[in-house]
Amino acid sequence: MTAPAKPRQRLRPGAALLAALTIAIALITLLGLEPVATLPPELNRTLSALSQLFIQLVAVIGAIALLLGVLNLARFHAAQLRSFPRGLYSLLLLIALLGVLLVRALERGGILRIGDGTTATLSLTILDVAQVAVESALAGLIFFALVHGAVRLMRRRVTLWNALFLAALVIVLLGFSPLSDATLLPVLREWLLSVPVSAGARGLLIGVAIGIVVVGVRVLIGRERTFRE
Amino acid sequence: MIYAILLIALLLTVISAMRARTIALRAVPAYRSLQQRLSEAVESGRGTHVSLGSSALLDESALTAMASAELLYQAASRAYGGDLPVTASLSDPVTHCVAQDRLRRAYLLRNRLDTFKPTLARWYPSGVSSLALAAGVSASLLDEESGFALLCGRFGTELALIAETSVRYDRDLLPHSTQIEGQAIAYAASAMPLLAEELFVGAAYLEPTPLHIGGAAAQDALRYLAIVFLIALAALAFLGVNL
Repeated sequence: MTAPAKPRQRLRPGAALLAALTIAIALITLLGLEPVATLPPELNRTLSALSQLFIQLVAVIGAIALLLGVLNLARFHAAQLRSFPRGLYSLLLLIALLGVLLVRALERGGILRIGDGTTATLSLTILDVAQVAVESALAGLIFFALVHGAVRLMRRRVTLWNALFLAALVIVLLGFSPLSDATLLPVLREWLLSVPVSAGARGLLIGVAIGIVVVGVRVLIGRERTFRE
Repeated sequence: MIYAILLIALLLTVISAMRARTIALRAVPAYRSLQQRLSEAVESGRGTHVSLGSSALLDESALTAMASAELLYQAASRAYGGDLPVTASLSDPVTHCVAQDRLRRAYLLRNRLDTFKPTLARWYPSGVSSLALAAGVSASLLDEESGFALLCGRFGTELALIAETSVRYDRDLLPHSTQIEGQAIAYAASAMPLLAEELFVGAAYLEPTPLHIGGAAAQDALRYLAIVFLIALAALAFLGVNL
């Protein structure tokens, strides 16, 4: 188990064509979305129309990819059916998938009508009852996971940064509590959120944006792995 | 403005790439430990799971998805020899195709294409807040005996659920997120998390070609430029200069 071998440097016609296409499409889309004032207006309009066309094509590809994703999910869980009891969850998932697909198809076909018949009431209700409720319950657990994480951080090793993290968490949580009306905590919480947290968050986001620019340059000059190998 | 930034980044990358041999990259502890953690997972007979979160090629996190897919390739090409295969998960269907491709390329690089299956990369339907993905990854870590979980890309607070499962069931975890909430949880959940922008320089540390080293150096240089620019603006504002 070692680091990957150095990639081959030999230029392949397919990869070169792919890189050329990608660079051209990326530049046209960029110029279409951010027109250059010095270019003729007619050219800017053409580039804008072309970039819109590319974006629409990408949306179509996204829809096809969604179908592939569903097929991949169904394929994986169908393979899991062979094992028990793990396969039980996969069976439930496949039944739910087929059931919702059937309901949606019947609604679209006008066979299943609930309410005024203009909206897909039943499939949306299934989504609200199952997906939204379960996700909300999971979201509720996040609070406990966060507090547990902070405590674990201190148990592992007490450092200044860990202590600061825990103190900030406690202040912000207590600042939101009903008890906070009578104390200084809401003021402290507001200051924490608007000054150090906001500054840190912006710093982190600027760092991410710079990273994205550098990766973008690598894609624009055709040095991404997809085009290299 | 965007063209000026791109041009500066391109110039810095090319100049740094030409001087790559003389550049010493700053230490990133997470990358330094990655090889060892992958080795430990392989040697303990467990698999490796890489999750790209809700990074999506069809929205503003497209380049995050590309960088995360690169890290998936690097991890898979190092942990290819384990008893259990490297698996991947994400919630964007287009990125799912890219993840499958990266896994296939990693196995192809090691002449282990027979081990590769398209279902090793899994798509979990979800939106930006990937709670279904978090539930799926948590279950997958246990069901498939994954010993090491690398979370890289866009994660929100749902990262806490995966981290909780990893810690409770003694799975090694290397978390990362480009989201503020996710990054805060990553810091709390792991002794050695990958910090926000470090994701984009992964290749420079794991496969140091001149261009990758140049990119990492350009990223650092741009960050220093941004710091100087912000301090200068603050100083001007303090002096009462209105721009």
